[in-house]
Amino acid sequence: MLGEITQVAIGGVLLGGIYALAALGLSVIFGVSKVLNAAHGDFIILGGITTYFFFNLLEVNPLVFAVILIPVFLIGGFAFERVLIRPIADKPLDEMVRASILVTFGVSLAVSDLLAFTWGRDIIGVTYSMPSISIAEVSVSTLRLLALVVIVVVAVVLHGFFRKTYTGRAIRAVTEDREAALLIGTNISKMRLLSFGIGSVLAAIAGLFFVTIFTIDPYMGIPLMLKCLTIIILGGLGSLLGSLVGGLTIGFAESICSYYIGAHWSPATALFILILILLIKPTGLFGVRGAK
Amino acid sequence: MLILPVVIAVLVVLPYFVPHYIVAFLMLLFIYVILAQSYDILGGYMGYVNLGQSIFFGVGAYIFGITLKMGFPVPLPFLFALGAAAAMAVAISFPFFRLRGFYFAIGTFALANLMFLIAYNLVITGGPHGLFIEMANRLTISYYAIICFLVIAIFINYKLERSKFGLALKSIREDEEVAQTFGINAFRFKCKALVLSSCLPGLAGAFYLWWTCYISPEMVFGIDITLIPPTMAFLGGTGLVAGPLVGGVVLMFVEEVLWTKMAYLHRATLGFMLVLVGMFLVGGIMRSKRFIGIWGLLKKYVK
Amino acid sequence: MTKYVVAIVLVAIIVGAGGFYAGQTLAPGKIVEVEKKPPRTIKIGMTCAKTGGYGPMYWMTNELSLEWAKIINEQGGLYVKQYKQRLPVEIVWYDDKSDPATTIKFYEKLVTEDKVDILIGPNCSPPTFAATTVPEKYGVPMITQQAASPSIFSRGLKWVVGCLADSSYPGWSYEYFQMLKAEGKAKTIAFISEDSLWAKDNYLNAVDLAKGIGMRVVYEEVAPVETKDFTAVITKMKALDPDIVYIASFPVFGSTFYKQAKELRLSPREFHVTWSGKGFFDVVGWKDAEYVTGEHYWVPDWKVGNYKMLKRICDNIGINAIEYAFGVIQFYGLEIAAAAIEASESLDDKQKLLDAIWGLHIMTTGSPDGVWYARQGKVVDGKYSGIGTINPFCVQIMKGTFNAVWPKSVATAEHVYPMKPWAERG
Repeated sequence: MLGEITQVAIGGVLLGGIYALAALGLSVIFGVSKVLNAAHGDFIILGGITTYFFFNLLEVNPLVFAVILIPVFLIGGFAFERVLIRPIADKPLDEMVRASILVTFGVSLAVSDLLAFTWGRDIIGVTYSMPSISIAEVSVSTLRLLALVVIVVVAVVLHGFFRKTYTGRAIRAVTEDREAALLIGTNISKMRLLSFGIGSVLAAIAGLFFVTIFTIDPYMGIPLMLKCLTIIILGGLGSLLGSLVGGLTIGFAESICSYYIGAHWSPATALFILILILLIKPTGLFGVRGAK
Repeated sequence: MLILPVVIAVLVVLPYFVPHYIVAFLMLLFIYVILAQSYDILGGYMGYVNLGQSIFFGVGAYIFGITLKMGFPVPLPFLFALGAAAAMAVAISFPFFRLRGFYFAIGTFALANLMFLIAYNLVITGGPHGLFIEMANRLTISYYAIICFLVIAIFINYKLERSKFGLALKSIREDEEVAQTFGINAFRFKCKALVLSSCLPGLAGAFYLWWTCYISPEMVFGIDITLIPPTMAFLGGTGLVAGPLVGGVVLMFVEEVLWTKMAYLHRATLGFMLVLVGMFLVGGIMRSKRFIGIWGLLKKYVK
Repeated sequence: MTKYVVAIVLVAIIVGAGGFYAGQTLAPGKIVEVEKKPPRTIKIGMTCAKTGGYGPMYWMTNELSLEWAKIINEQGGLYVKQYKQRLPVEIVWYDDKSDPATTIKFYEKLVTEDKVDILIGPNCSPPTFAATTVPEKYGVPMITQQAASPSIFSRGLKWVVGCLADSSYPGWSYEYFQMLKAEGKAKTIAFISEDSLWAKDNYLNAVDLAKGIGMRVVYEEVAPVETKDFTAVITKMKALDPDIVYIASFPVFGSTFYKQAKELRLSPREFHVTWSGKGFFDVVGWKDAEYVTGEHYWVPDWKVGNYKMLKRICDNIGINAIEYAFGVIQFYGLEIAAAAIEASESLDDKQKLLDAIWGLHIMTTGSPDGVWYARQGKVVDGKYSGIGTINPFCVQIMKGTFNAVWPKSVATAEHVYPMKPWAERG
């Protein structure tokens, strides 16, 4: 019995890790540029496809391909920001919100349709597996554990980046209080560029895990983005720690709910939690002041 | 203003001259526009992005279907649908109007998804199998009903522009706290606005089922019906009387044309167009300088 | 500045793509030229899920139909008693985008504007539900080639006749449980089903079948389609150690579950996956999919009915019937429609056409033995729908391909049971 619950709990945490990884990118982008990237889910898919492509060439642990994904998506994110976001970023907030929704949603539609057209609309999965670790009666999936390790590493690295480096602190400043940051001369444009780059890389890595552990298909972008949105709202917009905790919470809750109430109501769990948080504390668990 | 009766007259006689398919297409278009117009009451005039319009549409449709199957004679289920939608609006007001801006949007969207899940899992709504009602060809009646509702919807927005009620909503949009200090009970107005914006979608939902004879959770609570009306409003111009109408017509026609000409990439093209609109026409088509120019010319011409 | 560059590029792409694809409109199929101008063509109407969620499985159904029409017309067309001659066949089709509302719109168009003679149902259950309202409203027969859900056939829809047997009789996994009964080795079974129409119907029916042959059902669970983590379910199943784990699902759900089952070392004596086709083995890999049993309508050495024509069509349009087993059902629907058209006293009198369908007892290329006739569905208000008799047979994945294992009359290999536990498989 204890073994079962432990298994379920571990499963939930591992799942949450992957969710958190997916949500992190969205959080960084939103925190800095106040743009809700509706195409975030599609970035994840793109990361997954790239991984799949390389896996077909070289059948090794897909994590190896992160080496390729990072530079490619960093530049990709920069390009995306420069070409599509910069022109609309300096409008008044109302207009910018509308414009960014239209633009990113448009990109999402275009990407998912183009992908569906070129790769044949099948679902894709990387057929790589690693033997799982067995401790007493509990089996731990090595791949998912790896994802959790990766996200912890990423979180630590990002944390260090945001605390110790000048650019990192500048990004935090913009996230916490835009006007003040402007006043002291922070180059918002550059911060925005960086945030898109970082956000895209995070999405791509999440995509790598999605294609290896789960499957991906061209149309899962929007539902995926909505799940990430739930997580970052739960955790608090603009807060890294919030996204982490949010992701883990949702993964954990879904797993436990699945065990006790039935897998039937799992998606409802996330929704209920979201509505509850919105009604009790809309800024989320670790909401940053001013990030509205 | 003279154009209006002419257009309505044309629409009314249309079914007798034009293929069935076009009538169905127009009806679907008008339903979307009704949703977009009523969305605009909250979205445009009051400044609250309500992504839960589909809740009223779906509730209207399902309550209509359920009461019809229970045996209530014909006009009653329509009234039940209307009542249920309005009641839903009141119920939502209490918890959700504590939220503002972005959070309100997400909250209402989450609620719409929740309604989908509920409809999908309950027996009385037929679950995933959906709801069937007795079948008959009722396209023309539904079409006329929808035209009526469309006219009413546009009229409501027109009146809103010029009424004290509308003024109150606009003041809430500009600055809710300040409005409160001027003696406006924000909550009362918000609630009334929501109820107002729930009535027509509820009735539209009922007539939708009346025509299709079948609904499923996906058809009335799905992503399409939730996101397309606000997109139409954005596209045409929120806060403008004819904004959602223009946005709706443009979007539907463009989609239809694209779809028939480009077998596979129509959605991608639609995506590209949205990107262009986002970058150049952010206030909506009706606010773009070109349009205002053309509109001005037309008005001078008509006069 | 960048703004305008972007705009120009996007507009150029849109115009370019538009021009390039303008030719490839979704136009209805064309008639093959015949020497003497025929009095009319036989119009068969349908929608196809070319785009949208069901696109991956069914995008080829319209091409299959068009190719079928081409071959039929090469042979001179179908003989129609009413006109005392052979008439060419024309396929009129639209893309329903996998959306029920669009499906209704187009079936109405097929009936009111295109004036088709007979309708073939759309792909997959949800659009089929929506579509069945149309034949009833207008009185045109529809052969729902894809529908197997009992709720479609229990509404008393007079004008709807199904190609497939519904999930209640004999049931999707009927042959599988017949095999288990004959072997007598498996005693306990656990079920996991995705929460969608077809999968759930099959799972519920399979529970009855399992109990019917004396098996003990130790676990049942229904999970949403998007579920990514099955730790809870798999943990519970491991504790119960069932002989069979029955996964009722489409590929996405099934492959995710299966992969995690392997990770967590869930080792029953056998896995049964209701849809073990392309999506499943693509993701899981042939090696890991070894020993998985499932159901299929087609194996490489299928030799029933008009298999040569079906093979020819598949080769011509460049698909593998194994990978698109569900799409291939379209062919059986067309076979039935063609047989009905030739048997009917009249093409214009739709009631006679419907009667002709009911009067058929024909050989098709469908499984398990090709025989098709209509059975009476639930009577509602004095009317009833027709249920077909095509049902899949049981297959097992062995050495990278599918083998029919039951019934014996079509088996191409012996059923291997039990499978080696994961720990020993490596």
